[in-house]
Amino acid sequence: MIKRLIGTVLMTAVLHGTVAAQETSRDRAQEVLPPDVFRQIEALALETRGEGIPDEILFNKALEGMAKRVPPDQVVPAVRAYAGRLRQVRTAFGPTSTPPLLVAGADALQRGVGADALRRLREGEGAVPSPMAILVLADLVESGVPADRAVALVREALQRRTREEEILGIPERVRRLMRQGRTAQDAAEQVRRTLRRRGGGVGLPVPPGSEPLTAERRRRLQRSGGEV
Amino acid sequence: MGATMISVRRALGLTIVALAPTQTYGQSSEVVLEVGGSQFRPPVGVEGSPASFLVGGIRASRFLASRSQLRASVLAGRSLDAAASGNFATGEVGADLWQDLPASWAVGSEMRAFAFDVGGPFPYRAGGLEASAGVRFHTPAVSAELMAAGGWGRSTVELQRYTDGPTELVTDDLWRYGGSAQLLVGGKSVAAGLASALHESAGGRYRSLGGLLVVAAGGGGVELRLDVWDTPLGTETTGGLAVILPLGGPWSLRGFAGRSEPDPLTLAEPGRGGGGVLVGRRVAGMTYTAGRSLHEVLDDAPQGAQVRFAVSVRGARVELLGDFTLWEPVAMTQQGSRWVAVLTVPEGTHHFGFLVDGSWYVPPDTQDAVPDEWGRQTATLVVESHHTPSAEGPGRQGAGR
Repeated sequence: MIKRLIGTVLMTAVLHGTVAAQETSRDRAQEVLPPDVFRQIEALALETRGEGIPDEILFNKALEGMAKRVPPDQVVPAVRAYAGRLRQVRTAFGPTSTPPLLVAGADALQRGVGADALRRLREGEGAVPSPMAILVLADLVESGVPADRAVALVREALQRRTREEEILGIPERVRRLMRQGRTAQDAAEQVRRTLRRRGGGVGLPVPPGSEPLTAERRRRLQRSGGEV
Repeated sequence: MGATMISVRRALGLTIVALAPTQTYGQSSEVVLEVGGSQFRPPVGVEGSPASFLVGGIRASRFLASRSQLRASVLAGRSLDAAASGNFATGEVGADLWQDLPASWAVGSEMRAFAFDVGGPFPYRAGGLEASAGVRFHTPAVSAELMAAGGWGRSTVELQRYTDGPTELVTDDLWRYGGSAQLLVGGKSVAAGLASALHESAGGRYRSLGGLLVVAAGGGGVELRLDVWDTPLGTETTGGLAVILPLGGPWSLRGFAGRSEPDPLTLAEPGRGGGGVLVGRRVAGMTYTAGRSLHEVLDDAPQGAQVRFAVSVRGARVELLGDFTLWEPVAMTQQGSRWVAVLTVPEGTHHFGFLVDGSWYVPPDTQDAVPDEWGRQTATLVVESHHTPSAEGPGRQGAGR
């Protein structure tokens, strides 16, 4: 009975998500935004579309503002600023930029990563970096690691073919050293040296909840229905 | 109170403060080296003067979801007066496995295997298995637990019945079964309650009824406990003060002073009083106090992943919303102190957060929260194909925190 109840709850939530996803962000923006705001966002989207930035990202930002009960007159300037960051990312990553990459890059800029650091990350990986790598870079910079050191560390991890769950754990490894008295720069360098020495593949565990899905973790979750 | 529970276990007349580690949210594992000292009077029924020990050991814990954990420990003591009491060594491996259910309930099982060896005048060894299963009801104000338990083991003692006589090996089969109940009422930092247990064992019937007071603060805790035991050998009052204190950085302290309780499985008698302190240093493991995860990728889904979102917050209604819902609120389900929802999220870099009674909310210590254009925080979730260079096979990743 309990099992059936859980299943019902989960299925309800999943169905809800599926139904919502069938509508486009533009459709929903048209429903939710005041008409004049929608028109301005649509004009901006048309403008940026030619620069390789998908409309949906901008409509989503406008919807975010409405969901957060931001006064409508503050929505358009915010979306415009966001579009500016997306442009910077697009320039840094080039024409192969995907929407996930653009969003991750814009977030990184917002968290204090410079556009130049994004560009250098791309050079390091030899291809378009993944959103995950950008997330880690932003986390490091936000923790106080100088951008050049943060880029070097993420590049090292990517080049060493370090497992993704370990790359995600890098910022915490750096912060741990910082808590033990190292400067952010020294801590990042220490972790980078460790990666180089070990060739990747060895690292501290990532915290529960941020662990990527592994076969073992999936089995465990299926068994326990564990909390995040 | 939920995160800081202290259990005092007894081994061979030496009380060991065996705490349920104080897990900070997000902590995944730890290995702690400990050293300290203790002094205890012999148990009831054994004559002798207080014995002092130097104690050292190592314990390791791996924390899982829903307050579950795996643990292993070894502890050894060197008697400072070999004539009065022998050196000892004890080891244990165990697992606590709990699963949250709706409406603040959880079901679970706790298991442990143990072994110990004591030297001295009458060398004594024992080993066994104990398992229990039961239910918990846990809210911020009330915590109740009902467990059924059983245990099996074997002990061997070397006896010399007569001076200069032959040494005799006496082996006993050990068993117990029974149950326990505990009720705690209080707030997040202070709770008080009642605990009761009933066990049938190889040595007869053991019953206990007692009260406890738990104070938790700053990652540490104090438990004051008093129990009255009805044992086959009479009525005894046990209890004392158990303390866990973080000392800053990787250092911690745990200690106990009082009378240790009898053990229906090993038939150890109640202690007559004493205390001990262990100073620990965490030598490995990670404590992720800096951030909090709000999501868990459960499984692959077409063009995305099935993701479980959870947040601990007080409110009458909590909703999840993000770009993957087109910023339309999705009601979350309350499970204990947490609100949970499972959604299929497409590949991409996503932003999300919660509405708590209609107000925007992202926990302040959320990892990878991004400041938005309006001065609020937004949580991030990346669902991506496994396309980066990696030694792993293909799979889907849930990054972001």
